[in-house]
Amino acid sequence: MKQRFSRRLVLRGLGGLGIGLPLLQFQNALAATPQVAKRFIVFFEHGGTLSNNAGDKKYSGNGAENGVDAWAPSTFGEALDPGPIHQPLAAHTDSLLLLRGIDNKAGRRQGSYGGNHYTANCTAMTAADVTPFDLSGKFENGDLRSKGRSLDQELADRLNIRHPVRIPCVSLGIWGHNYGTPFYRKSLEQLWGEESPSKAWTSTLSGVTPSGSQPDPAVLRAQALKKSVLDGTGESLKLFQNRLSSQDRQTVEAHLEHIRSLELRLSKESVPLSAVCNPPKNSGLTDGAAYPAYGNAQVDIMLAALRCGLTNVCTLNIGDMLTTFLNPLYRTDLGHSLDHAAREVGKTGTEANRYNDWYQTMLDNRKWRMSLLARFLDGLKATPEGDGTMLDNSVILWTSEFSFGANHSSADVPVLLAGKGGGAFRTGRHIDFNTEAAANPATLKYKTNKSTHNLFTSILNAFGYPDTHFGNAMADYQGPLPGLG
Amino acid sequence: MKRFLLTTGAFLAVGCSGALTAPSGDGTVPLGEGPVTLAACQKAPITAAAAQLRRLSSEQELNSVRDLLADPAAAPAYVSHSGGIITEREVEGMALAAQELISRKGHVRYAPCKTDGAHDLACAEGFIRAFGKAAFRRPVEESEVEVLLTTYKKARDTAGVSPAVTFSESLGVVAQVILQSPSHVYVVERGVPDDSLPESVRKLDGFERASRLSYLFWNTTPDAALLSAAESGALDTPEGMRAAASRLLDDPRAQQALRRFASRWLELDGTQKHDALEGVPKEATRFPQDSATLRQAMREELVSLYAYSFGQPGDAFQTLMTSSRAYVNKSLAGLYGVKNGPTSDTQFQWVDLNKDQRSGLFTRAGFLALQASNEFSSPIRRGVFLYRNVLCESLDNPPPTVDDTPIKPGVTGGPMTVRALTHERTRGASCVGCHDRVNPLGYTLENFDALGAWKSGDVVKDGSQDVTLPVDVTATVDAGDLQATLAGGNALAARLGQSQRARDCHVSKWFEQAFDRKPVREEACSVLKVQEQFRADGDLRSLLLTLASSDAALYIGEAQP
Repeated sequence: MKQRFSRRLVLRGLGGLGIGLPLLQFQNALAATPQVAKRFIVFFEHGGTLSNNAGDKKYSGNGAENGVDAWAPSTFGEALDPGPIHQPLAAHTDSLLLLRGIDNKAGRRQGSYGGNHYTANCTAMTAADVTPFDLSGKFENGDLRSKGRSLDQELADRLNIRHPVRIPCVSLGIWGHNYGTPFYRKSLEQLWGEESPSKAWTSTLSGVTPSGSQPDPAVLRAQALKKSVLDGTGESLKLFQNRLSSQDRQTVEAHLEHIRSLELRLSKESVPLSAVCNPPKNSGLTDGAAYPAYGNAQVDIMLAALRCGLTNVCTLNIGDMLTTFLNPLYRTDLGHSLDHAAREVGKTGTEANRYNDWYQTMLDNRKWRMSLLARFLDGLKATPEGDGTMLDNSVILWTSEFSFGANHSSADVPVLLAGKGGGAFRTGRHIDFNTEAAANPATLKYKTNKSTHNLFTSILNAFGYPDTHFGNAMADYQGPLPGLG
Repeated sequence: MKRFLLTTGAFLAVGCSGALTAPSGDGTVPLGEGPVTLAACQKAPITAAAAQLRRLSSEQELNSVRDLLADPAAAPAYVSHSGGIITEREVEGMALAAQELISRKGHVRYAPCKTDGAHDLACAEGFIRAFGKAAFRRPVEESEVEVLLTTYKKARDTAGVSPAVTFSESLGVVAQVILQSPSHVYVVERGVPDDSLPESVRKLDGFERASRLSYLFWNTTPDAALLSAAESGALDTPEGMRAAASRLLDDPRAQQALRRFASRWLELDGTQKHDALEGVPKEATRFPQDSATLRQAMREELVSLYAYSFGQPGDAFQTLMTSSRAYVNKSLAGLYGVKNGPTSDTQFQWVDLNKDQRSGLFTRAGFLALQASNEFSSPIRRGVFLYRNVLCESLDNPPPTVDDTPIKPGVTGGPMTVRALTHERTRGASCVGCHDRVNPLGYTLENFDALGAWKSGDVVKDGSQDVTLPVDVTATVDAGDLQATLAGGNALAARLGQSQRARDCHVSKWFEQAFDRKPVREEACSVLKVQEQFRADGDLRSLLLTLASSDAALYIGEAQP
């Protein structure tokens, strides 16, 4: 790892505070770092996983303290032995790095109950400070916004300088109940992924033709007119800005930036497409489509965007239950989310007779989520790049705002990395940062000083950026996570 | 700008004269700090909320473009999904929507010439002024005309396309820009200075007032008549505003505002906590009469009762809380046990329900079924709704560690009534603080099952047997100004009809719909004055007319620097 930082840039401690700094600083980093990750992908699942973490301890799985850890590996050695939820990924075990015992310390420190919904979501990908959001007064009590940007956006901007693309980040989503996006374009500015595959296709792949074929003149004409519309809208916004108070000017500034970003996409139509570009046809599916086809369509768009060289960064925001996936019987009766039923339907809970059904429903849903990652890994692995495949040069992060959703626990959050990150990560392994687990891997005791701050720093390092920190000041441990390489 | 709490009624507190400060030159006395009272409001100078940019909601945007383009079938796929700073996805969605809308050619009616011919600069300018005025809800300023004309010329002169860009295509580009212009997408209120007003307060101009009225009553862009009224100065006085508001309320389009209010207030479209009325699941074996048709009828009945009450002269709120009139189809009549009702589900008619069982909005199936679990009634959900949404009392959320499995007698507890099990589950020390206020409200509605049908007993499992346990609907209520022992839903309804807190709350809810936010302290006097009137007359129509001509609707504060 050390030689990756042979060329020192004056970047120490900037981390997630890169907002507003001239990104040119990152431009030359690549020259000194031939072997680094090229693309970053986030799969974010809302509502946590099947975990037994309760903050400072783990539940035994009995009675009112029921909780079952289906996220854990089947055995606790360093060689990864996929557990129940990770079964759909079994064929990719060699490409995975399962990290346990990592807290979202920013979420735990700022939220009641060790990380309530809004705090947990705001901090999950930002590790930042949060602030109340009630400007319009129409939000439920407790809604918050992050004061920092999320890791994906930081990397999207940095990588776009190193390797300019048409779309700095392709942000997609799968509709479902949630308490706010974890993704932030910048302070206070939420970023919501497109949840309709049809619209996502139009936005990302429209006009992209398989490599070698000629562009359609009708498409070129439409693009020219579209450019005129964007130009005119941008001019209107600029004129409008002059008439506003400074607070309102900020609102319009964001609007103007988005117009510029759309203009940029149009202006980069001439970026040469990668030789392996073979985009899918528009599935025509909307955000109300049935889950398997719906999710797969979104994954395929992400894959195409990466293969065609349209982007360096993709995010997929997967909504929680209260969706079409769920057996209607669970939709309101077992609390407002299936996760919350975890304690009560437990083996000796008040509705113990529903335990097996509940567990299977949860497991099926979480495994379905994993099948999306499996499909994505299949795709990257089938795409040659250099001496290997695209997967070798990618970092895929799977995470959530909670470990055990029923308890709103932001401790021990799910962290699954995939891809070698250009050589930064040694995969096929399982590392548990729970210090209590050293003596007994199956312990119900829980203690860690590692945080998502450290994880995000490690990821930045994998891309050759020598940051020593990402996020706010709430980390107990400084620097990247040890032992990933 | 401080937000003041409507939810607790704190600003109604008396004895705050100490907060008043010395009279100013014009004889008014500023409100100062502390709770705001009507007495203080009588002497206070006019205050107004600081101006703030507001984006049209997706519904407002959709209604507006449909009206602008005279294209009621247009359904651009644009959704505003975030209440905060606009996102890239929203901006892109707007661009796609504008493209789709303009392809339907609704905009050409604003052009003073034929648009399928050769390029015509004068016609383009005429189009910009006409379409711009309609879309911006005010005349287009010269600097804006200039930008839009430049857009037209640039489109016309596009290089590298063959054949050259046509006149029609160029106008299409301009029209798309107008639909995405901030002057269309955002509601801007700057106001004009007025010597009779305090320095920090400005008078909304006629066009700004026209937009307020239009979005309040029709939830869409002002029509030509309203823009003319703005231009003529007819909206410059409170009386003029009241007259214009009256015209809008008499228009059938105002029914949409009433339906929308009722749907939101009653949570019929769902919340973070529950699905929409049509989506909440009910156990089929227990409720064989449930159907999609029945659910739609439930919604129709609730919003119709609201509109019906609204149209009643005199104390409409009392009617809303206590009327036994109901608009039903065959399925719903069946659920209510109405004899000689409609004979089909497509036919709705007004009927009288059994007055001994049902009076007022909260004895109706739509509310009762929505605020219940799959199998059993839920005194907690019903009570929480009444406490928060009808009495505007504040209530914290339960901690996540609480056992929130549904109350299911014989399943999640012993063979006892729903009420008894509810009591048992919520009597812990950390529960009673809230549940002592919430549960009794719900207990009075224990004659209604999870689908809203009348029940005199709870059917619960006792081992393998079903037993029927009689329900108890008498409860000692301690919520807001409801302090009484009430026997059943009718007794609750009668009390709600008289409740000053419920009336104040209703005014607050309307304010939130009208302004798309909660009131700020500078608007407290406007709210208090409407509340004073509504407490006395309960007249819903008058509530809206007074709100539409209140200081909050007429003035705007200086924008914060």
